[in-house]
Amino acid sequence: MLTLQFGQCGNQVGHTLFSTVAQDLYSANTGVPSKRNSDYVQAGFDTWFKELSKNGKHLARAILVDTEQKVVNTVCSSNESNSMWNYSPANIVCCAGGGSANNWGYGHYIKGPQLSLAALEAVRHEVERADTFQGFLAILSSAGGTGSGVGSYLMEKIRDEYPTKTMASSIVFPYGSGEVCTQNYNTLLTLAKFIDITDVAILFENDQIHGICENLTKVPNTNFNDLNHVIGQKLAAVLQPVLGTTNILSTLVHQLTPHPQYKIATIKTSLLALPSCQLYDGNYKWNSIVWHLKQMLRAPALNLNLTDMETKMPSNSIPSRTDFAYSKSVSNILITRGSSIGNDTIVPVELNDEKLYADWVPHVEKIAHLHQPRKLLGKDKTAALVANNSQLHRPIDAIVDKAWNTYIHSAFLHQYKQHGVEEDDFLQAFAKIENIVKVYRELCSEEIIS
Amino acid sequence: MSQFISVQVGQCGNQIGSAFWPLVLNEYGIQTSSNSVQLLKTQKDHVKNTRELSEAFHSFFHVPGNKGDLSFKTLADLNAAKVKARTVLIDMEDSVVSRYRQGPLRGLFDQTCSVTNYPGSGNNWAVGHYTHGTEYRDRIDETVRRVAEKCDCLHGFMITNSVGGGTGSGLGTAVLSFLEDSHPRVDRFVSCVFPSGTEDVVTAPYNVLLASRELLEHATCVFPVENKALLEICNAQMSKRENIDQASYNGSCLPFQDMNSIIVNMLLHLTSGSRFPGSLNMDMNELATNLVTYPKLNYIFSSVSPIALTASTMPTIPGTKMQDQLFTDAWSRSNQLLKTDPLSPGSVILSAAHVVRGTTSLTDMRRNIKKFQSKARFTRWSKEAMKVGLCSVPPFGHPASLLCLLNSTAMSNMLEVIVQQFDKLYSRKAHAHHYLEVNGFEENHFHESRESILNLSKQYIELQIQQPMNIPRLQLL
Ligand SMILES: Nc1nc2c(ncn2[C@@H]2O[C@H](COP(=O)(O)OP(=O)(O)OP(=O)(O)O)[C@@H](O)[C@H]2O)c(=O)[nH]1
Ligand SMILES: Nc1nc2c(ncn2[C@@H]2O[C@H](COP(=O)(O)OP(=O)(O)O)[C@@H](O)[C@H]2O)c(=O)[nH]1
Ligand SMILES: [Mg+2]
Repeated sequence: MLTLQFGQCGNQVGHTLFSTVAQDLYSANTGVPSKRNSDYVQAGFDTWFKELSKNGKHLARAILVDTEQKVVNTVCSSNESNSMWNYSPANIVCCAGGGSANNWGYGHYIKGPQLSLAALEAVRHEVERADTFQGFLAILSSAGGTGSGVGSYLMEKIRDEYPTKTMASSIVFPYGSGEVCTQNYNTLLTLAKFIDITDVAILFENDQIHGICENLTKVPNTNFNDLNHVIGQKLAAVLQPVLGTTNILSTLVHQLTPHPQYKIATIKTSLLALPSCQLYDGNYKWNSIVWHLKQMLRAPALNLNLTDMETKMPSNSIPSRTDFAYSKSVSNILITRGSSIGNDTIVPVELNDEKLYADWVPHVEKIAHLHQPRKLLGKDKTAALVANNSQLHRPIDAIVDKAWNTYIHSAFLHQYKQHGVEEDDFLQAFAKIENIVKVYRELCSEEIIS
Repeated sequence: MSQFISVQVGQCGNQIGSAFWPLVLNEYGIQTSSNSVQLLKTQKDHVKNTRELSEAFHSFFHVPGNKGDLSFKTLADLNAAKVKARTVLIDMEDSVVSRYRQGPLRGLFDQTCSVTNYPGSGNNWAVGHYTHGTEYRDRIDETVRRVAEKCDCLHGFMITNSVGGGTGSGLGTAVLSFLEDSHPRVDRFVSCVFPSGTEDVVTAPYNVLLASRELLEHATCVFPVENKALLEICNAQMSKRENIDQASYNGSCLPFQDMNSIIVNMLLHLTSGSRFPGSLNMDMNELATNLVTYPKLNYIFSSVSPIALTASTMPTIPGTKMQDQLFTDAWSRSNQLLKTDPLSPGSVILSAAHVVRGTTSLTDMRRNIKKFQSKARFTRWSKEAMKVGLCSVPPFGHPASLLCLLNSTAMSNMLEVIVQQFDKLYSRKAHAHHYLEVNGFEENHFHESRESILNLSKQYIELQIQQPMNIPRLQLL
C-alpha cells in the first residue's frame, strides 16, 4: 500500500498513522503465540514499510507532498531521534514557498502541475518496488489549498496512470465554526473530484473527533496532536493486517461500495487505545462492543440531537428497550481485534439487523466481518465499524449549505476566478455534491429504491 | 523558507524600519547593544526554539553561501558572516537613512540597498509620485532586483510608509506599482501610517486621499495604522511598571520609537506563520484569500495582545483565563491600531483571522471563536468566515500572543473621514496649485481618487445593509 500525504493535515495525520502502526508492530503485548505474531508483524511491515535505511530505520511507503516546507521539516525531524522508522528523503515532494493560499484553484491549477512530475516519479518508483501492490491511500484535509487542490490534481494523474489499482482516500473535514474562510468552497470542490477519482472516501470530521478527545481522554485542552492520534488509531484499526485477506484496501472497496453512487464511509470505533480507556480494559464483552457500535448508527428522532455514542464508553448492560430507529447503511464492515474465545466470542448478528440497511441491499452484501486475534496496540479488544451510512449526508449537507450561501453572495469568488475556477465549475461541483446529499439522505426514506 | 523584502519609504517608513531590525534580531536571539548596554533582555525559554529560530533567520536576512546551522549570537557574528538585511531603503532626504549607516546595525545594510536624495518631497504626494517616481524608477527597480536576486523563495514585499507626507505617500505608492510590474506574483503587504490630524503637515489630507486610492488598487493587503491610536496605546502601556524596560529602551531610540514598536510587533506577528512552524500554519499568502472577500476590499483592521514587547512579570504557564484575556484584549478598542472600532455598532464583519503564537490549544481557540461569533455582527454568509492560525514559536518575552485581523465594514467610517478632510481643504483649493504644477499630475487625479474612495466606502455600506439573497439550493430532478 502506498500512502500519499498531502498538505499540512495530510502530513501530520500521516505521520501519526505511521507512528501508531510502528508502535503496534513493535508492541510486546500481543495476546497470540509468537509464530502468529511474527506473521502479523511481517504482513504489517510489508504493507507500510519497505527496506531499512542506513541507520537501521524502517522506511515508510509514503510520499509527502506539500507546497511549503515547515510541516514536512517538522514531521521528519521528529523522527530523527528515538523512532524506529522514517521517511525516505527521495519521497518528499515539496516546493519551497508559501503554501497554496487556502485556495483550491491555486493548488489545483498552479501548484499541482508544478509538483506533478516529481510526485509521479516518486509514485512510480514506489509502485515498482512493491512485490504485491495493494493500492493507494491518500490523506488530506479538504479545507486548505494543498491537500484539497494539489491532492485532487495529483490523484487524478495517478488514476490515469493506474486505472485498475484500488484508490482510497481519507479526507478530514474542518471544524464547522471555521478555520479557513474558504473552507466550504474548498471542501465542495475537493469532494466533487475525489468522489469520481477514488474508490472510497473515508471522512473524518474535526468536530466529531474533537468530541471524542474531550469526552474519552480526560485531557483538558485538545490539540491537533490529540485529534491525529484518534484518526491514526481508527485507520490502524481498519488497515492493520487481518485474517482472510491480504489486500484490505480492495476488500474494503468491494464490500463497502456495492453501488457506484455510494462511495463514502466513516470509521466508528469502540475502545480506542486512549489514556483514559486503559482503566476499563478487558471489562467489556464482545457483544457489548458490537452493541456499542450499533448504537453509533442510531438516527436522531424528530431532529433532536442525539448524543454521539462514540464519545461514550460501551456498557455491559444492554438496555431492554431496543426498538431504536437507525440511519440506514448501504454496507458495513466490522473489523475486530483481540481474542474471541469461550463464552465471549464475536457474534455480529446485531449488525446484521434489517433495520440498519436500505431495503434494496441484498442480504449477502450487508455486512462483512474480519477478525485478527492479535491485539492492536496491546489492547485486549478493539473494534472498528466502517460504515457507508446515511448519516454522512449531514456534514456534507452542512458544507453545501454554507458554500451555497457564500456563493450566491459572490463572496471570495474572485480569488478562484483568478486561477481559472469559473462559476460554472462551482455549479457543477454543487450539482454533484447535492446529488450525494440527496442519495444519502434518501437511504432513510422508504419510497426511493434504486 | 519564505523570504520577505522590507521596502521602507520616506521618513516614517525608515523610522519604522529602524525599530524593526533590532527587534527582529532580538526575536532571533541576537543581542543588540549600544555603548555596551544590552538594550533588550533575552529570554531564557527562548532557547527552546533555537532550531526554528535559526531556520527562519533567512526570511529577513541573506547569509552569503549559507550553510547548515546558524549559530549567530551577536552582531559581530553577523558582520563576520556578512549577513545582510533583505531590505530596500528609499528616502528623498538623507537624515534617517544615513543614521542606519552610522548606527550599531550598519553592517547589515549595504550601501547598495538604499536610494536617497536631497531635499525630500516637500510633503507633496505629486512630487513623490511623479517627479521622484519618474526620476528614480530605474534605480529603484535595479535595487529591488539586486535584493530579490538573493532570495531563492521570495514570498512578499513588506512596505512601510506613511501616507501623510510626500515621499512615503507619493513615492511609496509609486514603488508599489513598480513592484507590481516587476514581480506581479509576489504579494505586496503595506503597513502605512495615517496622520492623527493634529500634525504639522497641512497637505496631509491630499496626500492621504491620493495614496489611499493607490493602495487599494495595487496592494495585496493594507494594514492601516493611525498615529492617534498608537499614541493612546503608548500612554496606557508605557506607564505600567512592568513595561519599564521597554520604556527605557524606547527612550534611547529615535523619536516615535514607542509607537513604531507597536507596528513592528504587529508585523512580526503577521509574518510569524510564514517564518515558523505550527500545528496550523498561516502563511502570508493565505491572508488575501481569507480576508479580501471581494475585489479591492483589502483594508484590514489589526490588533495585537499583549501589546508590550517585553513583560518580565508574565506568568509562564498560561491558563484558560490568560488565553481568554488575550482574545478579549485583542477585540477591545484599546488594542486596535486604528481609532475606528471594527466592532462598532452597526458595522458587520466580512471575515476575521485569529493567529496565536506560542502556547494555546484548539479548545481555547474554539471557545473564543464561538464567543466572537456571538459577540460580533456578520453578513448572512460571513459568520463562519473565520481563519485560525497556530504558530508554535511565541514572540519574544511572552508565552503566547494573539493577532486579530478583521475585514469590517466599519472601514467606511475611516474612508469617509479621509474624504471629508480632503473636501475641507480642497473646497478652498488650498495648496492645490503645488500639485498641479507637478509634471504628470492632473486635476482629475483628485477627483478620481475621491470617487474611488467614496465608492469603496459605499461598497462597505452596501454590504452592511445587504439584503440577504434567498436563492434556493440546486434542485435535482
Ligand atoms: N485532524 C487534523 N486536522 C488538521 C490538521 N492540520 C490541519 N488540519 C485541518 O486542515 C484544514 C486546513 O488545511 P491544511 O491541511 O492546513 O491546508 P493545506 O492542505 O496545507 O493547504 P494550504 O495550507 O492552503 O497550502 C483545517 O480544517 C484544519 O482543521 C491535523 O493535524 N489534524
Ligand atoms: N508612527 C509614526 N509616524 C510617523 C513617523 N515619522 C513620521 N510619521 C508621520 O508621518 C507623516 C509625515 O510623513 P513623513 O514620513 O515624515 O514624510 P515623508 O518622509 O515625505 O514620507 C506624519 O503624519 C507623521 O506623524 C514615525 O516614525 N512613526
Ligand atoms: Mg499548508
